[in-house]
Amino acid sequence: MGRKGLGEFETSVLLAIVSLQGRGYGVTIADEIERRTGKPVSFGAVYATLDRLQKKGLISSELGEPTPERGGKPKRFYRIEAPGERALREAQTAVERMWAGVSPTGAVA
Amino acid sequence: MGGGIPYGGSSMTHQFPWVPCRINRGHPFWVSAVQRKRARVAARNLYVHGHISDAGPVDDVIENWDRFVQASQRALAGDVVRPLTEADLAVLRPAQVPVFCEWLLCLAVEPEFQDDRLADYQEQFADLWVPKFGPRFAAVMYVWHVLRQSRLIDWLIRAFGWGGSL
Repeated sequence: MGRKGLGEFETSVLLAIVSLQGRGYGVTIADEIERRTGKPVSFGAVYATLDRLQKKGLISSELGEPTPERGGKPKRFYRIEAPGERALREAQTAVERMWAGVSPTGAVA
Repeated sequence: MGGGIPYGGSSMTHQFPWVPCRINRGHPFWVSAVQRKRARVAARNLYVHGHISDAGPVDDVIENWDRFVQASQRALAGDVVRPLTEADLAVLRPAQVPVFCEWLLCLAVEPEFQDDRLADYQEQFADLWVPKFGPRFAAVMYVWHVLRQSRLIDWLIRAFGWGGSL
């Protein structure tokens, strides 16, 4: 991974890929993020992020079988790689460290 | 991160100021769009799962829409109280993406990613954008999302925070 950590949307995309267990492609990843966050996401932004994550080596992709309902075109399924899992763990640890002993009301334990 | 993605309205509202800030998903327009999408997905699933057994081989049906329609009518005869009208068929028929849009996508995407991405965009175009916005604005949406995924615009949006959290 680069010197910078994961962005917020990158984290969401990675988590969606993990939750879809290797069966996630562009449309389902966008749907999964919408379903989990309850907020609309930009389809183009999902692809931009997928391209970026793949260039960073955090995820990989492979083509599925062509299907007739997609006009004989295949789906590209995305899968998280070891550096991606590491980056997710780091992001989680960083957030947990920030939240440690702090409540949303401002009280410090 | 801990609080999830901050909500700054629909991602679209950042991109198109003339789109109402919060799309009310209970609005009849949205509901009818979703219903049409579900109808088309259901019809497609019916076809894909082979319930239309007398429609012939898959490839033939894909190439011959009329045979698919006839087979659909026969298969749905038990559930449909009236014959499918032209309006019904228009809903079931996948909307065609303008050639210009597909050409633009091919320019923006590396050749190895073009096939699957064209199909993904077609799926999104036919299932969501056309029912929701109509064919013309759906084409605008298509072009915008193609541009949005390009590296330069992605960088600009992230650098200047125009897309909120996106």
